Amino acid sequence: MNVSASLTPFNSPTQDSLPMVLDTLPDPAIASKTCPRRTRLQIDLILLAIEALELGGSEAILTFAQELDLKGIVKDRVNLWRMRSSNPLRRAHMRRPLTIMEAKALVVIACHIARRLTVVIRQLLMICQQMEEKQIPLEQNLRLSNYLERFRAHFKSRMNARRSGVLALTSDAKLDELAINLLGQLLFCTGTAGMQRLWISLFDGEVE
Amino acid sequence: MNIQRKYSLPNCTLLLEGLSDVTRAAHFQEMRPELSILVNAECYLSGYNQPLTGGREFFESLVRAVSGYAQEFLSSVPNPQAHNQESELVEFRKIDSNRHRLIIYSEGAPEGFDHSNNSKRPPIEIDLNTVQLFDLVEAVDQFFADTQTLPELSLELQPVTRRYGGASQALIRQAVPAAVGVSSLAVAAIAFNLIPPPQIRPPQPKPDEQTSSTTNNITAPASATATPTRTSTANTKPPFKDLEALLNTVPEITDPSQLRALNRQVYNQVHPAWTNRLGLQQDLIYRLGVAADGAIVGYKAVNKEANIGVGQTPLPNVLYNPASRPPISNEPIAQFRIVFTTQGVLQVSPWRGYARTPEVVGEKITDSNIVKGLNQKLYSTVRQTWSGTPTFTRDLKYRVAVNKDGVIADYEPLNQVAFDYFRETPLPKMFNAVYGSNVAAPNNKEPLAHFQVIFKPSGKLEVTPWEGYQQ
Repeated sequence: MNVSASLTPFNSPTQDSLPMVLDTLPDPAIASKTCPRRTRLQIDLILLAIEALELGGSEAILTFAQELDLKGIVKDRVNLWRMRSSNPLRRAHMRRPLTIMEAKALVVIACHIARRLTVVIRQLLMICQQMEEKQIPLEQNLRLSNYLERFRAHFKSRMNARRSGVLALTSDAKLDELAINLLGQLLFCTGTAGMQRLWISLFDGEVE
Repeated sequence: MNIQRKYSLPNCTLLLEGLSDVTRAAHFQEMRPELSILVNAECYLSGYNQPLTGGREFFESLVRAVSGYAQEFLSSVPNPQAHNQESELVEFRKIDSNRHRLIIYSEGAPEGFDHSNNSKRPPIEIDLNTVQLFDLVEAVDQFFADTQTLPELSLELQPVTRRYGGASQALIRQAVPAAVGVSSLAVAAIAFNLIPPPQIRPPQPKPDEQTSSTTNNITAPASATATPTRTSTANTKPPFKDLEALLNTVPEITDPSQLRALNRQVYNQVHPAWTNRLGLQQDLIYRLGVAADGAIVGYKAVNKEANIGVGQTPLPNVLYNPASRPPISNEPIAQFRIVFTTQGVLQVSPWRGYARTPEVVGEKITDSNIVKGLNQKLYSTVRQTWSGTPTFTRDLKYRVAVNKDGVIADYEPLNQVAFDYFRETPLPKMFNAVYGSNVAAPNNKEPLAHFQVIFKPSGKLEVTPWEGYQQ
């Protein structure tokens, strides 16, 4: 009985369709089937930036999981939260591994959302560029300051201050800098090969 | 048929012009023929009126650097592909999080065109903001995705390995003082040459013999080119005056394995020092005496031109400095034949050849499982850093040694093309990144695993366990 029970997931339709979406992302040459620290941190931050860009971003993550047939991996809100809590900076950090498969699913979802937000991301980065050229503080632009404010709020409420201190993310200015950098990374996710590029970059310096 | 391909983004337009290869059939029916031969590449960036233009080498270098830097932008881990100043025409430098400097070095003047150094134009530098950078990356990615345009160039992404990840920043910083150290040493060496050791010119009974093809004086640093202004006040001991006389009193190194290792040390000393390689009317041939530590203790012209033209060779400069190294009294000496050819090629070989097939000296890693693992690791490291279309037409063969951690310890070209095209391989870069110099003495203090690495003109790479020199 046990044997047949453990076989059922492989035959279920959701499991069958998984590799179709995830096949474009190769398995990294790392020993374990779970993600290194930096990979877990980076994925969660990218998702955090998406949430700051778009109200209801976390809903969108689950919606896209459904649309992209990734429900088998990103099952529900609790499941998603557990995955993201593998980020070592989280207040509720759990010593739970993030599997390569889970990471791929989150990257696929993040890049699809980013692609839909291409125009907003580009505009915000151009505003940012113009403000810097004119040496005007970024907060003076309403759209930009909305994004930065939301990002800071999300970050502070979810990350452990002591742990983020290690990365010198202590001041608002530092958090703004991180938020802008993540915006740039999201822009790269929108490209033709953005998903592959983000995925491979998550393992830079981690493979032997 | 002339074909144009355009990849257009708000801040960047990539325009490729080329031809389709008529030898490949079935193109005529196609709506969109394959651009298989690139004639010209232009890259227009917003804010710059002049496009960046170049041929295939420029374009390949551009896409490699762009791809590498895009990855670095995403991960903040330095990507060797983006900063390959030595062998690439295009390089990126991060100024800050929103400023990315694109640097384009001019392609060398075509051969036989203009050899003067000052004809080289200064590099073009363009600062891109993040959105501009992204548009350039996107144009390149759209090109990669286009299977009807140079299909052999495709997007190949790989994570940066740990060795080149975390450590590389520190290595770059270390490399700078090391290089300064080397050049100040060179200055010291030149200074010593200006104060030459006492003139030791063996009596030359027949003046006409000096120009014969086998003159007897082994030239000390200054003797052949001595000028009247030079003083003879230094009390350093002179290098050897007569190689043959010396060999009568000291044992000769004949062990083939040791000769092989010394052969490389000689090459590595002379090769970088030979800067002006043009204008030799005849091949210059010398016989060289070399101590067991690689110090060149004396040389002797073998042909007439060699005696006259010694000033055109770096030999006077690479002769060991008696002030910095204890004098040679009874040390064994190895002899080499060194040829500076009119084509600018340096050849070094043991004077009497090898008595038998040489072997690699030093302790070796023999555990076959470890060797197997290191083999794979070496393959993936080299594969990852070697890209682009080779310009060589024959296999480049190297012996590459790594330590137990897979860090490169030594590499040795095994055929002439491997000498000539070594810069197209990632080996000098890899070695340089670890030791700060390409001519550093090989690391043989720990057990090493040796491999034969073959770079094929097709772009294929082969790494196999070392099976000895093929004579």
